[in-house]
Amino acid sequence: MIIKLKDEINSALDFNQSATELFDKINNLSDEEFILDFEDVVFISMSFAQAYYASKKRSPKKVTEINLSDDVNPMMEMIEKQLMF
Amino acid sequence: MEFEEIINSKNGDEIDLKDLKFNPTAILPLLCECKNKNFKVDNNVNAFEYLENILMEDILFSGLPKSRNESDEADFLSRYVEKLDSEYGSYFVLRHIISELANNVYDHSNIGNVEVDSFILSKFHHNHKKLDVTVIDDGLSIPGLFEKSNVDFENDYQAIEKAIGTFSTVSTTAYERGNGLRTIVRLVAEGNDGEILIVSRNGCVHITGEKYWYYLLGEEHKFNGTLVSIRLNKYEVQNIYELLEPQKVNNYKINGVIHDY
Repeated sequence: MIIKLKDEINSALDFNQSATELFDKINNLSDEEFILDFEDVVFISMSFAQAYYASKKRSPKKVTEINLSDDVNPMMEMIEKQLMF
Repeated sequence: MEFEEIINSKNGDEIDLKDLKFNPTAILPLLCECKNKNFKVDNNVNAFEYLENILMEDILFSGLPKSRNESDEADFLSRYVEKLDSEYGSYFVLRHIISELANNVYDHSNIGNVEVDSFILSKFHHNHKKLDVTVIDDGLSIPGLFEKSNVDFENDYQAIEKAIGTFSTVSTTAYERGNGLRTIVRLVAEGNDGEILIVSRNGCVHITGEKYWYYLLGEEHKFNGTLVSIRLNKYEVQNIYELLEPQKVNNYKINGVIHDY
């Protein structure tokens, strides 16, 4: 299943609650694999990114990200790297 | 402080604003007081509405949305930052600062379903090439949040030291940790050689570049809520992601000298 984050949430992903609620929805759907499309997402806050990876780590679903722009990819990479410690 | 001089000189419910200098750090707590206590100015005019009308003319002022619709709130933050000059810090730095402060307001101040007012105000000082941004809420406060979370601290300024250091009430793991204030302080003070003032309950810290001072506010100066006021210089922050990385050491550790206010 593909979820476009711009349509699901907003083109700016500010709030940690948005990430938590996103994964609550994902975890309650019957699909096992999800592609999260970040096309046209122009900003990701640190709070959102942290909550996103925390929720992703706890989720039983397989989740991958696509279309992360140069504006938002550095934040996601930084937080994902911190996840490894 | 200018805010206190105005409040302390009020006559009944009437306040005198003729000497007001529209400093964001004074204006926002004044707005909160006017709204909560229904103060008046000349000819029985509602002081909050009076200030709101003046502020809308040439200073970017707004209450933070209470819609609890996160898309509306994100749109508001985007529109607000677009009105600021990105040469002060950079668009990302401005967006990061305002987003993280809004996250703190929504996450930490509304615990227990208590109605909280929060405002943001920005003012340009074009001659001096500086931009002030102030966010205020009349919610739980940093020490209040720590008390609710059973976090140990001895004094309210120590709670602020923890909040801007390597500590968070959100989680103890690196990727889950709430890092809003810590990263804002580093971006502003280290990345932009700017200034930051944080006031919360009886605690206060003033950071300018590499220097910092902690204050213990007496009961008469206690601030019920949190105020974060930032002054940015007109150049872009470099090495942003390096400044966002967690650190093992707190660069703003209390050094034994606490000022009374």
